[in-house]
Amino acid sequence: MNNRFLETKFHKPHWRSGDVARPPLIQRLNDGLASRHKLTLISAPAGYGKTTLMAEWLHKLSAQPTAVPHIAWLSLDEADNDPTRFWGYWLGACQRLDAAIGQSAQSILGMPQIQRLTAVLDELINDLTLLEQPCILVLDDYHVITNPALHDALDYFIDHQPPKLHLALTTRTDPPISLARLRVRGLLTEIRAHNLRFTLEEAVQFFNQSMHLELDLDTVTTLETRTEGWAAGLQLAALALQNLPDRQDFLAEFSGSHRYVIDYLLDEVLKQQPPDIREFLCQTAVLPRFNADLCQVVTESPNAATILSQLERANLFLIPLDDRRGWYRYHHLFADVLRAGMSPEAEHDLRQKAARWFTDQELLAEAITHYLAIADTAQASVLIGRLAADLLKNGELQTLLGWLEALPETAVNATPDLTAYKALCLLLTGQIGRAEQYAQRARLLFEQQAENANLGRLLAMQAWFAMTGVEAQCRALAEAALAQLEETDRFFRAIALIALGSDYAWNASLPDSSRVFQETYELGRQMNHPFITLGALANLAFNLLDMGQLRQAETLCRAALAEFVDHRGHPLPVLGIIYSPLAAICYEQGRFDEAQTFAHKGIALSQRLFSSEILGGDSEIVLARIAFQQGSVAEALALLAETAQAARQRDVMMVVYKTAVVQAEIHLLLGNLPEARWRLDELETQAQARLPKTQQIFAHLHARYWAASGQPEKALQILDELIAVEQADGSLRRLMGAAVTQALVQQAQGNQAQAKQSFTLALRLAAPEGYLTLFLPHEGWPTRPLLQVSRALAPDFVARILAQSLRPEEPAALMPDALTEQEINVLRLIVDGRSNQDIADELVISVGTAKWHVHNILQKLAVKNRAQAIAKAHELGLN
Amino acid sequence: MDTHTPSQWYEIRVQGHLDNRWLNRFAGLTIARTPDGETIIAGPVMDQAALYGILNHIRDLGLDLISVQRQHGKLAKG
Repeated sequence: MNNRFLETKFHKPHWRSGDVARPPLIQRLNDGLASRHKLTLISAPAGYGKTTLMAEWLHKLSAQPTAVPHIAWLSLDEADNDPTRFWGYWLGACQRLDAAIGQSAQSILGMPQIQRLTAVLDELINDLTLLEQPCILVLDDYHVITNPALHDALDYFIDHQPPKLHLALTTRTDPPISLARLRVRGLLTEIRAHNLRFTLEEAVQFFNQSMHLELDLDTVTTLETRTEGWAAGLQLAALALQNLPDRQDFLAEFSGSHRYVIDYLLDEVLKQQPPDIREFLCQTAVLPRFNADLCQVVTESPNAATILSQLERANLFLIPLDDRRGWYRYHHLFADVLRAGMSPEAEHDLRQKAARWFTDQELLAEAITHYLAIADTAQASVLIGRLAADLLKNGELQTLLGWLEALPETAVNATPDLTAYKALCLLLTGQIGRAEQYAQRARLLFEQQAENANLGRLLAMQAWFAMTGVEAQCRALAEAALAQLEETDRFFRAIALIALGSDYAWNASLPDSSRVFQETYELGRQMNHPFITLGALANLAFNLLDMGQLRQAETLCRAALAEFVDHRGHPLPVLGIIYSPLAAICYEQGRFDEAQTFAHKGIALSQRLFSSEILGGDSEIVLARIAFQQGSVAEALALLAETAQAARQRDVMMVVYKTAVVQAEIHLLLGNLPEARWRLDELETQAQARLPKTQQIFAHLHARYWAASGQPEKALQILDELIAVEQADGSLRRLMGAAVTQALVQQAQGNQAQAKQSFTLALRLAAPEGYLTLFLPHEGWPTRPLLQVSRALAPDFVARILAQSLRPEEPAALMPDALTEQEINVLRLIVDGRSNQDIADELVISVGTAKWHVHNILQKLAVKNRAQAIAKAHELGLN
Repeated sequence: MDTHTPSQWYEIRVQGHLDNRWLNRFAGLTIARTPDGETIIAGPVMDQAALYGILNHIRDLGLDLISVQRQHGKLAKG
């Protein structure tokens, strides 16, 4: 990302000692900094000297003998309305404060599927809290930002601003953030137009000392009154006066004129310039930034470099954008006035030359801006097509979409690639309905072509969406995408591969699935794309777990845990992707504490980072299973019900399916047959039930249901077939489960020899890999006798299982006598699922008091959350 | 879509006399100067987005805005 920065945007403007110093304003800014204000806002119309004041302040801060803050500067432009670009540059600026900052935020920037902008911010804020030295971050020209999402993000940032960082904004209009609140709380330093107006003394100092004009007080008073202390007006007046023989005439005319100050003064200034300079100024004013080369091309003047240095010496509003005198721009206001008089034809011609030059320099974004400004659709389309793949890969969707929306519809429709890019941008920004229209049109257009990269990309995205919906055409789409996509189109190949790998896994083709995810993993590595790398790794780990290779699964995940850290050793947030498989692995190993920790981290992270589609439910399911293993049945069921509810609301049917499976298992273990039957019927109606993997899970549940309802023969018949299928598939984890069930059924029938044989099959596979939890005996899962007779097979492993099963239960809590009558009232309302506000309303107490009661109740019941408190209340018979 | 939303007639007053060079920038609008040193920029404005575009432009020129008025009687023909 670094090499894509325009360094000029980080260039802090110089303050020259010849400029008028403004001590009262500097004092005010310093006072704000000393009083630990969060924000400095310099808000005034163009030409008031906002940026100059900021430059003077920073210059003087840097010249202090001690406590020099670190300073980063970012000049904003219209293109920064793209959130990815905005935060990319913001991170770039912060990295100039401390190179260590923002790695973690960087790792998730531009990640697909992230809808919460605050995720990037949270990481950044986290990092910035570690700043040891006071720092100032300046955002210059904030008024160009119009994207409401960015205003919200700025507000959020200010709310959570790290103490060592001070934010300073220059803007022509007040940003729509909560300035009033900052004002009231005394956290805002504000400099506005009336503060920036030059006083008479400052005007005298400016004309006579900075500009060496030696004007008398009356003259300065006239100029100051006519310009109302407006810096741009004073500066133009000084330029106009420099070479003027008769100042009195000029002054009389100027003060008597109603003409807009700039119109009047600029005409005066230009009149005094030689014709070639005048021509040069007008022609180059269309350029937002320029260097001598570009000026030469646009003006067709061979001595552009000389003219530029003349302009700089003459103070003609030329602002250097770097230290090498490479790039410049004009003061915005000055450029605007110069440009105003230009005919559309002349502007067209100049911009066309500029666009060609930018194209030759491979600075395509700037070329596109010029072509769009002169409505040269053909050229703009070609260049947008060339740049689109990069923008898409970097997540700069708003930029790309903005350009595509700026093109006339007919131009987009005429080009299959642009139609496809528009579909992709819309898809990735969540505008599914509109995306569908463009996708269909693009498919039609592509049908007339044999090969096309964008057809492949579209198919990859469609495969991805088919995957999230577990739709049958997923594999066909993914395979078609891979056939179309070039080897070099790695991001979209990875998208298609993830869809394909998931499809294989659901179809119980685990070796194929793992092969595909292995390829995805390597692709992610080559691309240096942690999201894809770790996404593939998580899928590989789940596959290995299913294939009976728990150790290998653990090794993979732990290696990633150690690798994906920032230079301080803090885990990168993208690591959250592998917390779910880690939780599942630890659960299988019987390491419940660790499993719970990973599961909680995984849940917290997915809530913070990802949109709902990524909600896999795996962590929640691990927590429910552990609760069940530890005897908290009600808590387990409550957690599953909550998860299913949330998934249903978000239409993530795969999670609904997974939770229903665990609910059925629990009811079978408890002997609640009607409940179990009801779950099984529900499962059967769901579309996911037709997938081979779910059919295996379903067959196993069915066998257990028949066994529990007195039909062991039926159960054993199903299990025999199931074990054969799973053996063939290599789904060894499920095979172990089926074999233990088989052994338990045979044991119940009194067929000890066969039971031992079945149990041996499971134990042989499980022991070397450490699948411990499967064998833990409890009511409804009486494995203890079988463990004892098979002990010789794996003595250490069996000893560990038995030791874990003998772990003393937590002493059952009786009705805690310390619970007051009011607390019991509150607990009843908690059981009813009421919020703190509801509780407060019901009991006519304040919300604060309600919270306090809830807090005390959780402590007295020795539980962590409301779900556990509800379970405990049920156990205590409090209904 | 724009054929269904008729333009509205607006009159915007700013302080100071603007030169005719700005006509390009306020395309489709007229610029008139009053004897007391104000400029009236007037004409059909397509919608609110267009209006704010004009106001932003006035802001960017550092002009003092005096008033913005919609003239109900003078509906422009679509």
